[in-house]
Amino acid sequence: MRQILECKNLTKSFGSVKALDSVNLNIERGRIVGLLGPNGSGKSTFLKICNELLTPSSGEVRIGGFKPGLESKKIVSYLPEKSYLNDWMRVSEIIGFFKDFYSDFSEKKAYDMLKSLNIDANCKLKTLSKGTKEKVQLILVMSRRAELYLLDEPIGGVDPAARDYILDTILKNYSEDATIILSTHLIADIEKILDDIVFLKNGQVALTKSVDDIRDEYGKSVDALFREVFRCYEN
Amino acid sequence: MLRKLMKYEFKATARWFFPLYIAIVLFALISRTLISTQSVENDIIKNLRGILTTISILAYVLLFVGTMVISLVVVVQRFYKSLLGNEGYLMFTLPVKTWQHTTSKLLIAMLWNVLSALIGFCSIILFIPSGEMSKMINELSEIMGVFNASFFILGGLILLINIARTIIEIYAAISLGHIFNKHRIILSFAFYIGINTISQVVYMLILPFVSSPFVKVISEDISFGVSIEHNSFPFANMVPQLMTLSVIILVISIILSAGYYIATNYLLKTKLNLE
Repeated sequence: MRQILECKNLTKSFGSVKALDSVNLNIERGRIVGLLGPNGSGKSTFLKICNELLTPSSGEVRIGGFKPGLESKKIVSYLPEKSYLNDWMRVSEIIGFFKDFYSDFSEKKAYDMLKSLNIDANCKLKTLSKGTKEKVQLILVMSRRAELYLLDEPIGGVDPAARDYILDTILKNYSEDATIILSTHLIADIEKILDDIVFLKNGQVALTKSVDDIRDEYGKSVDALFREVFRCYEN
Repeated sequence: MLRKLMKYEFKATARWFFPLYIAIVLFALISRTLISTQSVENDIIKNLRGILTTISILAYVLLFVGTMVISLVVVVQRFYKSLLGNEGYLMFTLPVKTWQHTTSKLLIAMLWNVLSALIGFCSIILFIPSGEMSKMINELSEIMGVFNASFFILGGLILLINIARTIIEIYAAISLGHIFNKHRIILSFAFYIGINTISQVVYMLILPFVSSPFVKVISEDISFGVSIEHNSFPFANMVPQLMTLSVIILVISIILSAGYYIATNYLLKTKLNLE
């Protein structure tokens, strides 16, 4: 089975507002996919539905053949846009927590990454700065050997110096078969690692293409194309 | 997985309760020692002892009340914050079932409520002078003698299931309030009042109906004075009726708790809407 994620007429309404409108999407294994779109285009809603944090109004999404639920959660590693770290654990304790609940979690990987980013494992989570919290969360998420990584704004809150390390980390820590879907506004920064892009516009898929095809067909970078497609949204 | 969830729930809450328990027992012991120590002392020492005793007892009472309040706050806070706040992003993406989250929180909350009650009870006993103690135990055992073991088991079960019901009522109210995008806390509070009223109405509607034979026995007993002559405890021959009544209370409580529990899990599974 080459497909890891399959989406059929996925729709999510909040009252009269359609956050997602009949989204159809097939994503293959082994790809790094950029989920791109302006604020409010439905990126986070889509990722939340994939994680069973929201229930779709209609249509369905399947991950590795499973509807979002117990089985899909075993193979999905999700980085939300929010900081979900509690205020009572130490960094080492949350690593233990992940090890307890996810059989694919590698403690060694996590400690190696902490060391490279100079984060003390004995620190209380609540004393960490916002940027460090984001790094810890990314480390937790990337220390799993998941089949699908869903990363919501993975580099939004960290300094540019750490960005390169993080992108490097993402590239180094996923296996050939695994798929990464990451949403971001910082297209220029991540463009070099992407295989495919999905443009979301008002809850609808505006464009899906491989980055190579974009370069061949349009003769421009993803960043430039993004600016063109969403021009009316930018001033 | 339920066991692991409970382990972490216990760790997250123990940091509140253990220090409180230790402090309660400590101040109960200090107070008792200060009260019971009798020695030749001058006025200054006597006054000092008086002040210390007052402070110690006051601290004990405050800690006692504090523990009861914290037991309630933890029920609300652990459910609201760790499942429906930002931490929900972590908890609800773990490979566990929704009911396991609710159950782990419920069981640990019950554990703390029971432990708090036990610690409170034991600390009060510390205040009773040892001479009085044996007298009280004798009197109590005389009254208790008319009931058999099954009655106590039943009583314990009723107590437990009603602690559970109270907690699940809170969970259900918070889950309901959470469906809405605004005023979630006020709405949760309103839903709690509503749910609690439903429970009270159910008890009030069913209990008088089933307890009428029981009331009849009491009035007969008192008017003829039969049992008072023959038994040390006047209500001894109502034990069977009392048992029936207890079983009915237990059954109602279980049905109510199960209803709220199912509703809570349904809401969390299908209506989850994290900020």
